[in-house]
Amino acid sequence: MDMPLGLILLIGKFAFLAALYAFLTWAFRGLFRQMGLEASAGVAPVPPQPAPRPVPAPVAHPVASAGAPPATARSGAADGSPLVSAISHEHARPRLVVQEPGQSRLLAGQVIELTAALTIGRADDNGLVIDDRFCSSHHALIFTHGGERILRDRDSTNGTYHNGRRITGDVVLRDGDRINIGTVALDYRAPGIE
Amino acid sequence: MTEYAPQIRRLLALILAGFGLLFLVLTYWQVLMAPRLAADPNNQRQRLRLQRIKPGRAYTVDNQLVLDRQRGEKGWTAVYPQGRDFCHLTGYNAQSGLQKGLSDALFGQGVYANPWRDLLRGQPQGNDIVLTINAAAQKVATEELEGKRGAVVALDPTTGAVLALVSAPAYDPALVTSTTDEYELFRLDPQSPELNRALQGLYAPGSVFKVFTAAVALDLGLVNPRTEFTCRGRERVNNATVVCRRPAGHGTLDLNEAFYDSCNVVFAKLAAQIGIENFISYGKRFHLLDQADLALPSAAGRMYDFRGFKGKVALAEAGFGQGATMLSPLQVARLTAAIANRGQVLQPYLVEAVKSPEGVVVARGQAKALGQAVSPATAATLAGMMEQVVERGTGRGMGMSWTKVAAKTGSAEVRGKEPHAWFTCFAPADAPRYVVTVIVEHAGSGSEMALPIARRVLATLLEQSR
Amino acid sequence: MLTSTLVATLGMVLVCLAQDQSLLRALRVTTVGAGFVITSLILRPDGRGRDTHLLPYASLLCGLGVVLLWRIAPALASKQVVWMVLGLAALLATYWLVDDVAGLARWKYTAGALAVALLGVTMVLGIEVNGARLWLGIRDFFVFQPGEVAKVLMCLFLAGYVADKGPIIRAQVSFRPGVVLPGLKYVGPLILMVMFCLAIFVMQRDLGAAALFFGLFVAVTYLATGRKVYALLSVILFLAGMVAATRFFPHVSVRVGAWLNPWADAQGGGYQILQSLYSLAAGGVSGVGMGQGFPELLPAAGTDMIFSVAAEELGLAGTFALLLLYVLVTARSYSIAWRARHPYGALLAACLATVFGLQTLVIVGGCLRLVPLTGITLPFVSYGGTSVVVNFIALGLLLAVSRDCLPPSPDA
Repeated sequence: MDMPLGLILLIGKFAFLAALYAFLTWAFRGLFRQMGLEASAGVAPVPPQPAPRPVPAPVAHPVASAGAPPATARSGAADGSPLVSAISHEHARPRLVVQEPGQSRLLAGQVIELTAALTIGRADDNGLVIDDRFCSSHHALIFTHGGERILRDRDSTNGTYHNGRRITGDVVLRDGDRINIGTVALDYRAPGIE
Repeated sequence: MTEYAPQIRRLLALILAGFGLLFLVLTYWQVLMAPRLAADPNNQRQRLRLQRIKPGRAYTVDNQLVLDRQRGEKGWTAVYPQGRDFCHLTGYNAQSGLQKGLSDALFGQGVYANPWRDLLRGQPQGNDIVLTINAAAQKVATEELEGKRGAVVALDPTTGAVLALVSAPAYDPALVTSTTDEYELFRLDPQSPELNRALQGLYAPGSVFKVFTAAVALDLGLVNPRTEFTCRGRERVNNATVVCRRPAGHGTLDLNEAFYDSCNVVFAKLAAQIGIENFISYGKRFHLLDQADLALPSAAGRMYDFRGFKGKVALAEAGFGQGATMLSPLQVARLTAAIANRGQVLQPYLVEAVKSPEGVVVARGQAKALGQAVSPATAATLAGMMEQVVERGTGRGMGMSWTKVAAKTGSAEVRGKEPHAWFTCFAPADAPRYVVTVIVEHAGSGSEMALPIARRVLATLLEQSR
Repeated sequence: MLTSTLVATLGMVLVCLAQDQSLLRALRVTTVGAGFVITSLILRPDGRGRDTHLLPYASLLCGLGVVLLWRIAPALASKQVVWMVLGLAALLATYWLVDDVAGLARWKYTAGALAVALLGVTMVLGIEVNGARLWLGIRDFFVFQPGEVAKVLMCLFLAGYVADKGPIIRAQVSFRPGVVLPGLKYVGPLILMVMFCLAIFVMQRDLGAAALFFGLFVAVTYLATGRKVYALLSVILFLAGMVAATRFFPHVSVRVGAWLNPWADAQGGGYQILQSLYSLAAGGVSGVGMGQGFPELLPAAGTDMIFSVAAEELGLAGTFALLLLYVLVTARSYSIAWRARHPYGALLAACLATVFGLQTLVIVGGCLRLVPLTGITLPFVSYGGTSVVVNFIALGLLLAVSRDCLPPSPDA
């Protein structure tokens, strides 16, 4: 073997490093493309929710996609404790109004003031206890995020319905929205917040 | 996007900051601190890197392989084809002998580094070395010194090339490195075989130093070979009691006779006449106080440089090579070579050539003049006196039928022990080509114990050139 | 994908050339590359918005890992190839089984209990190697590192827990806006988790895992509450615990001493970190070249110190590239978390990304004497069966989450 092995190794070393960096260039270009679009995603209108998917898996609906104004996603990013601002509007505290008590001991017309996070379920540790056979012990949750009230199902057995549709992910509540849990129907009221 | 998006983004920023810190610290260690870490004494890399380089081989000038290499488990290791004969030249590991002294050449480092050649070669490889050593003379000298303690140095007086460099007792480099026990025995041996006596041994030169005293006195014009002196066998010179080798004394004698019959009294008087200043300055002109600079550890000679009463005593004793004057065998050989080379002092050298593995000569050993110690006339006169030593003096046993030899014997006295036997000579006397210097520790008189060894070594050298 | 395979193969060829070995052996690394290509081909027809970059990144890291291991000890590299193929199978299985990521949330308590049980059993019954008790099994026959498995289980638990309880926790925390120091009720869990980490640290003598779990907890606390006070508070508690442990446990103080001044005991406690620094220095800017360094000087070259081996042979250029690869994997994983539609998916991806990033920071920081040296692996590169398979499972989970993300681009 009479080839200049040392030279081959030296060239090989730099070729190897060059190949590594070529790969990195490709990879970073991909990453920046993704990141760049992310940055604009908060400002530009979020693409409409894709039409019913071929996969019947329960897919979460993004908070920002439920017709929220474009600034929604950004306002969440604005500071670490997004909940404070919502609570400061004392005069306009949103609430739930029982429309149909169903089998529960709730009373029609009863008003439940919403806290920063209101848990709903059959168990006693919930903020709103609904003693209904079709209500799970930890059934659902309404919480504040970026000035919005968000309804989330907590893997309940019989599901949470929002304006007649069973929810699979987070839903932003609007004044007058109807929520159905078991046999109970609740209305969401938030005058002055829009 | 979920409500956790902002926190996620900040976490990513935090982790990226961590990576940023890593980049900074990495640059710190790999670039800024790299030289200091590479030189850290705990770092074994430099040593291990040398083991990966295929080292060069060492040959004598007559093409005998002295130092070879073989591939071991942990890189290249040295092999010693000549064993004991060259032990003090090869050393026994990378940290001794010429393996250390010439490591730059043998491993292609320093001035011998050639990265481009290494790249083309495929494997880093060191240079071969051709020593100026004459293998035959070296072997004869080793053989002669077997069982004794001493040293033999042979030089080419016209160039300064070292033709033989032997120290006894010798050792087997392969054996002493074979086991830890052997190594311990070797290191703790009271005979100190590791010591290279030819370069590191400092001895009182005894009567061979009369060459120096005579040369200085002649060069200063204080005397000529016919100048007469008296010797009463035991005299006080400069407050030193000087005893001649003839207890009855030589009576009246000239310098020539004093030289060939080695009269201490005369040379003590000469030294007193020369004076301490001249004595020291000529010592420097002969480069007796330098180290040998042969890529091997060596000792500088010592002369008594002490003014006042004690200095005067020392000076008288130094005149015949006793007292505080201490020289290595190589320095005695250099002194002899300067006389043989018409008073010119040359730098001794060991490396004839450095050759790349492809056989291209990379560097070549050259004669290097260090200056004129004494005038050519002085050197010629002294050479004549040294011939007389062989013709009718203490060196009679050196006589050779086919060439004239110039020499000086010596028996350096050691308190309470047999004297060191010295002999230094050059030949042919009219056109000197070889200088041979021999010392045998505590052996007795130079003419009996050192002369036969010098004779054989010189004969070997002369035979080769015939 | 093919590029990364080619890069790794080139590296292998260089090692073989430098070490005078047959070039055919370079094909071994191609096995791993082929495994990745097949995996990505199998995944291709999926049609959902899966991340397409993570797999090539991992393949390059694995390729580099095999090359470096081959260079250190060929036997290890061969075993590692087998583990990687098993890991790829585990990745595919994870990806397919976890059709609905949100559904995994149901198993959160199982995962959490399993993680704690695994760590607990190891603390009591573990095999001690090099002073650390990290392995379970029969010595020299079959051992595995429960800590690695617990890592992913813990991610599953924490993501599930926070996804479910996050809004409640946040609501409770933010009820008292002006109060900086939270009440004991909220500090309690923090102290508990700090204690848990310190227990790992002291009982298993494993600072790396302790730091990793701790970092994960802090990150999750921050994710859930969005408040930095908790993170800061727990960091202070943890550091105080470390200082106390250094004071009271001799084996800890020895380690910390070796970190603060390795030169004081250059042949003993400081040996490993010094050798690492020497490797870094020897590498310089462009490295000594593949196969031409001295990894034999590094203790645990194939596992803890593999980064230093790479640093010597590839130099600063190579280590930057390697770290950038980890930046890519981490950033990409966080990006999946950022774009995830479902809170559980987002949290899971964020946890996995945090573990991945932190692990790299801790072990590389250890090799650089930035933090004390610990015995955790460099993801995808270090030798270790459990580590490799678990990393692939984590990758599978990330890919599964990425299916339910916002599309990276409107026209994609």
